[in-house]
Amino acid sequence: MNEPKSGVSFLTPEHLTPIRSLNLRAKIIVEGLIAGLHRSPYHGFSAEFLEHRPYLPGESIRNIDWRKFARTDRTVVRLFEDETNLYARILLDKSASMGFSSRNGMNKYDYARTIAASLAWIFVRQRDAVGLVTFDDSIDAALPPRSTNVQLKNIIACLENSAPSSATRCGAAIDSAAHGIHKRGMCVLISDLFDDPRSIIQGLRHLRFKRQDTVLIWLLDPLEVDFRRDAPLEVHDVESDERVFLDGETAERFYRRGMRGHREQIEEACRELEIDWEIVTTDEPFHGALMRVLEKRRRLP
Amino acid sequence: MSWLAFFRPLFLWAMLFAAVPILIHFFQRRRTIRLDFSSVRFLREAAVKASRRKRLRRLLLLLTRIAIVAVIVLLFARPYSRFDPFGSFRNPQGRTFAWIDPTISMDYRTDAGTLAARARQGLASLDSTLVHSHELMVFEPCAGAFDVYEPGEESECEPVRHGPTNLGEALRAFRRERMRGTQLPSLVLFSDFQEGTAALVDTFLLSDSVFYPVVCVWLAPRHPYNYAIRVGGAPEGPSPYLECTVCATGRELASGEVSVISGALRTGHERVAVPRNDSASLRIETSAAARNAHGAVRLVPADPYPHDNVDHFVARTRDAVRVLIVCDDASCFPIAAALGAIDGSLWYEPRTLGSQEVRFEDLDSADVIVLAGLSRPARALQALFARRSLDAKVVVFSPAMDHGESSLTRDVFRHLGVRAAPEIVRAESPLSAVLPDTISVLWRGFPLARDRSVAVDRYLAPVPGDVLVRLSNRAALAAGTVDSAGHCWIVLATPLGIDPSNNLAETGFYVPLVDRLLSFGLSSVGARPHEWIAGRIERNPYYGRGVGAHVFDVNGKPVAQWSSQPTVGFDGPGVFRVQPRGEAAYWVAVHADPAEARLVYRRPQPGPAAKRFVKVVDREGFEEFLASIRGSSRLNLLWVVLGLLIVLEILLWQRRGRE
Repeated sequence: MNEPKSGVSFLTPEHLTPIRSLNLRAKIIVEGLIAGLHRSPYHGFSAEFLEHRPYLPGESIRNIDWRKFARTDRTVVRLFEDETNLYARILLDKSASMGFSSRNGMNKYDYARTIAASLAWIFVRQRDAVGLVTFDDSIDAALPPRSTNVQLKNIIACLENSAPSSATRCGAAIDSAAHGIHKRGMCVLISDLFDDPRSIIQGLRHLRFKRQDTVLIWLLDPLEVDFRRDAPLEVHDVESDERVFLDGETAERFYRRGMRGHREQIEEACRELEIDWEIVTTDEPFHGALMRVLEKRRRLP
Repeated sequence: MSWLAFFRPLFLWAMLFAAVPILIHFFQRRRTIRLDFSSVRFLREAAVKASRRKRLRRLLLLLTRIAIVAVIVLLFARPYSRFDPFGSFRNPQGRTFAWIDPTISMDYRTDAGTLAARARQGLASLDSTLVHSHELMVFEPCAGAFDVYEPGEESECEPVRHGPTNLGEALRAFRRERMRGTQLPSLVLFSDFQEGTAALVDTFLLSDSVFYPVVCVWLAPRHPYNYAIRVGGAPEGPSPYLECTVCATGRELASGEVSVISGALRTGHERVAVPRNDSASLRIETSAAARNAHGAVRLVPADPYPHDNVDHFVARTRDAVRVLIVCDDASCFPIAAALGAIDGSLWYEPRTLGSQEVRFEDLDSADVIVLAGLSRPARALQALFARRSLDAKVVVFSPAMDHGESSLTRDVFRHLGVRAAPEIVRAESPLSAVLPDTISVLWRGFPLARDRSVAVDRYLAPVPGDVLVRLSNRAALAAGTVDSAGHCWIVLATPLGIDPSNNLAETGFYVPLVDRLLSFGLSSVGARPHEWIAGRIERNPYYGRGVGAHVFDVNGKPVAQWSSQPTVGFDGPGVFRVQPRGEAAYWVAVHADPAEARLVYRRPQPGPAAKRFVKVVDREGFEEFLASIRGSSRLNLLWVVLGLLIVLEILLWQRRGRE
């Protein structure tokens, strides 16, 4: 596994929070990521041969061009030319729950749009067509996929101008977004999935039906993953404005139980629908999260 | 909760420890934190319900802990119900006072031993039942006070003794002890509760405000029976017969044998059979050895109560009467001369004292007091008018006529209920003395029903009391009455000594008159015949006379010395020789108290007010009572509650831990 080098080690949400420009933030992340990869075997999502490069110790031997090795007795790795035949859509949840942050750092929505911007950057850099759909209880904004630099600017501008609001109807929104897709492609869904799992699964199923290679980035706050509270709580739902009074231990017990069931249902559906999913928490460095997503894509057959 | 009280109420201060779990609860309680969260979809209803349940559980846990502290404190404070007066037997700081009837009736033997032994067993059971720190005191007759009961320790006093019950003394000591302590004491009385003892207990329960527990352990035998023998008349002079009575109470005496023992000899013998609850009189011919001596009669077979199977007698016993003549001049000497003329063995030599010389002791030591011709009342004589100051006396009042009616006369007449002042009546012609009827107790010994040699010129009228002798004009010459103090007053209408108003002392009527008046008086106060009863306190016959006596038993061993003490007595039955200083010795027979052998038992009957605090139980009932003390249901309940609370606390704690 390629470990990020020191150049990307500070690409944490804490470090990037002061940077207000999403464009700059995404650029830093992507460039840092690429620099960190340092002759990485990553070569995008297309399969057109570009050139050879020397094999570096530590790389997977699967990437070695064995024919070349047989002819020249040199270990080289094949690199491929990017193509623009991929239509990718980034589906970003902008419901009010995405605005939650258990710490003073970056909230989920900030993290999500940073990830989205970075992905858009990567897609555009690879000359893939990328689009953006933001939704809460319904689709808020939709940019159809394009592979131009203007598209990247538009995506980043759209992301910068959006803010979390309204309640989540994630499943319905995904379902609605799937209606507008007619071409085979790829969807990256970034959401906390705080919605009825049946409707979410219904939406995912619709995406798969539309022949979308789907990647689910399940973005959660650390507190949502590991809910620990001792003191009595007055829990205020930022979406519904509902208030629940309960003691910390009971809240922890029931949240964990509910979350576990919710997660099991979603994961089960993803396995069934062959959807890649990755749970990302907002305290993770961006490059780590992106690396995991990209690594998962690379290992696909 | 006015019914609830505590044996150790100071421990209730420990209830403050109940604040500890409360404080811990509140210290552990945290401030509610507001949390803006992405979604409460997982925290709805069930979570709220669970949270409520948990809050309730925590509250329950708090209450359980408080209850545990409270129950522990209660266990230390030892609660009891005010409505359960016998709860004080469970008091660790309490005191129980026990009294065992020491009279010889407790020597009645049953299959389980004597009643006294059963009482001591009961006392030992009580001691083993009471809490260790509970103080058990037992009345010590020798010390006259309660002492701490020590199991196995022999008392210096005899378990039973002759004489009246000392219950009154014990109850007085109990009252003193009750005043001393702060805790409510308990009283346990072990007795067979013969009629007299039961009556005494009833009086005590009525007179005393009984608000403390009294347990009367009734030890009377179920089917008592007794054979008794009592000497009625000892052989005297040439009479060869000894009269005695054999009683069979509760069971027939089919075949009995009565023996007369004089010294080491059996001097008489008779067989006897007595029906149930009947008696038989026997005249047993005795040998010459018994006639001039003393001895005992013995009844065989023995019975459960042995003390009255032997009775003692003394032949030729006579107890002389002491006469005190209070007179201020020589006019009364014929009275003393008349007494000497009657029978020297019947009367001690009369003492004659002036009215100002008389002391209380002189009055107290006399059986008969003659007030002859006194014009002024002496201070010491006031004791005759006071109640309960003297034993019953025979008082012969002979008025003074020389100076008219005296103040003493007025006092005597007023004392005897005559409001009107007596008048001195002067007879027109001398009046003779006439006996009132032929069946009078005074009849025997009088030579004539009317003595015409008597000439009474002046007399007092009216005279209080029943007329004993009249004058020929039907006015009273002598009248007798018993006053509220029990004294028999014989009031003469005319002076008994030498006086111009009559010639009584010069006639043959005089000596029989004095003898019969005094005999009547003595029979009225029950002074004769005198019987010595073992254990009974009697007036010292030598008290105030300046002489004493030594008392020896039948073997010549000295047993007592009678000197200046006002009362004397014999500890046990038997024959004793009294040797007065300067006088001839004589024998006295001391009998066992027949009242103790009556076998009449009665349960004490507390009044309505004391009924709640008095329990009358037999020996078996007492064991059940002790069992109820041992198994204190209230304390056991507290232990059960404590156990349940601890289990509940553990369950709640474990559940909390699991959550």
